Amino acid sequence: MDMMVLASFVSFFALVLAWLAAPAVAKLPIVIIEPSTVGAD
Amino acid sequence: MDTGDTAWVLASTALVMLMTPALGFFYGGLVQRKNALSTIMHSFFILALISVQWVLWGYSLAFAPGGGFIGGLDWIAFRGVGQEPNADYAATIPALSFAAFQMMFAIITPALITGAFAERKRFKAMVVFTLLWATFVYAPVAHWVWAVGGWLRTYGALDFAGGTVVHITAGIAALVAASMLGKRIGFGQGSLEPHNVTYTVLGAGLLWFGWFGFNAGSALGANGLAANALVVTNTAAAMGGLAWMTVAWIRHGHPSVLGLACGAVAGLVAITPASGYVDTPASIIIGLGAGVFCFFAVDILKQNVGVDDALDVFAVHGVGGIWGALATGLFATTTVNPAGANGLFYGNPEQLLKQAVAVAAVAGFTAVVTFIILKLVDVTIGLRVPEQEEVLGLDTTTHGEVAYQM
Repeated sequence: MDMMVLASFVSFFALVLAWLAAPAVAKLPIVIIEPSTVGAD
Repeated sequence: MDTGDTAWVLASTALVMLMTPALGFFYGGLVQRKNALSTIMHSFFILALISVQWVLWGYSLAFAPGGGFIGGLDWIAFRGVGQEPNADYAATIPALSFAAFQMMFAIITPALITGAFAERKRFKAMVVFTLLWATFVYAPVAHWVWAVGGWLRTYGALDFAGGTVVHITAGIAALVAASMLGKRIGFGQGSLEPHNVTYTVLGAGLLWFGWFGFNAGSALGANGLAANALVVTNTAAAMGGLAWMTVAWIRHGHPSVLGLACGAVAGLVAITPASGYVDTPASIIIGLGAGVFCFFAVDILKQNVGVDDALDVFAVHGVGGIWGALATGLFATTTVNPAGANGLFYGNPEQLLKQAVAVAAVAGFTAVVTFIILKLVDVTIGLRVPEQEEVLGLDTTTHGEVAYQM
């Protein structure tokens, strides 16, 4: 396996590992209701 | 080298490439509004992911010289795949062109499966599953059927453009995945209706367009066989759409737009393995069968079996693919393609047996390996999102985006 092939494999698997290590915390929607939007001010 | 052949195969590669984003729209319209983006993302992400996987090792495992079961590693990272033709596969186009054309098939196949686990699968699980599945299911089956030395090719099974390699593998994998993931929250309660049939019809139209490259491009030349494949493809798509719509009209009382679109895709699936071996009248029968069989497969699977194959991947691609593979054994004729074989109706019943063996082998292998891969992913990452995320929708919870700002 030549160096360019090796580098291309390393590049790809670096991305795959980054995906697996990336945060998996769900982003839950947060709705902020301003008093003015519901006529309460 | 033939410049006309090369131009056609390069153009066909682009046509087939478009099918995967088109599939994203086809599926994206069928899901709930809160999962539109995540569903489109599956197809678009796989387009990028498998583009690299195929270059690095997928193509080599599928087509490089090897045994009857799997190819070798001579062509990893496209080393040895150059501008000169490889006469084993396509004598008049660059080897790179053939490899790129095949890449688009490798991309759309795992993208098809995503319809089964839409609206509830973890994104990371989808990533790992797709990489493993493309390596351990798609590459071996492509080798069996299309590679020099592949055991099904040597045996004499016919698959012009991927009825077994693409559609049966995807359909069976979808059935296994849907069974293992379980039903979506709200399944059977009428709350999972398509949110945008317009997207689905747009996707179906683009799929139909791209399928000309899929099937006619598989002639690997700008020639009469490509013309035959294009005509039978269009005819079968039309008959599939008309047949599905008709049955749905009789059963449900409406000429459904969605039925026409799904039927056209079913017709396209069924003609795929046959498109280089059958004539135009046969394509009408194949399209008709696809529309009827796939329509009832959807009904049976959803109502009687209770498997939540969310976007009917098995019913359309599995059943349509099996019908197309067997129909090739019925209607194939060497007057269309002297390099093929005659089917049952042209005096060669043995071809039907060969097609049935190919269907059984590919379906069995796919089911077992898909099950093992999904189990591995389940114990390491987890297949399904938590219930709260499923209720809120994957667009927001997984991708932090929404499809529509209104």
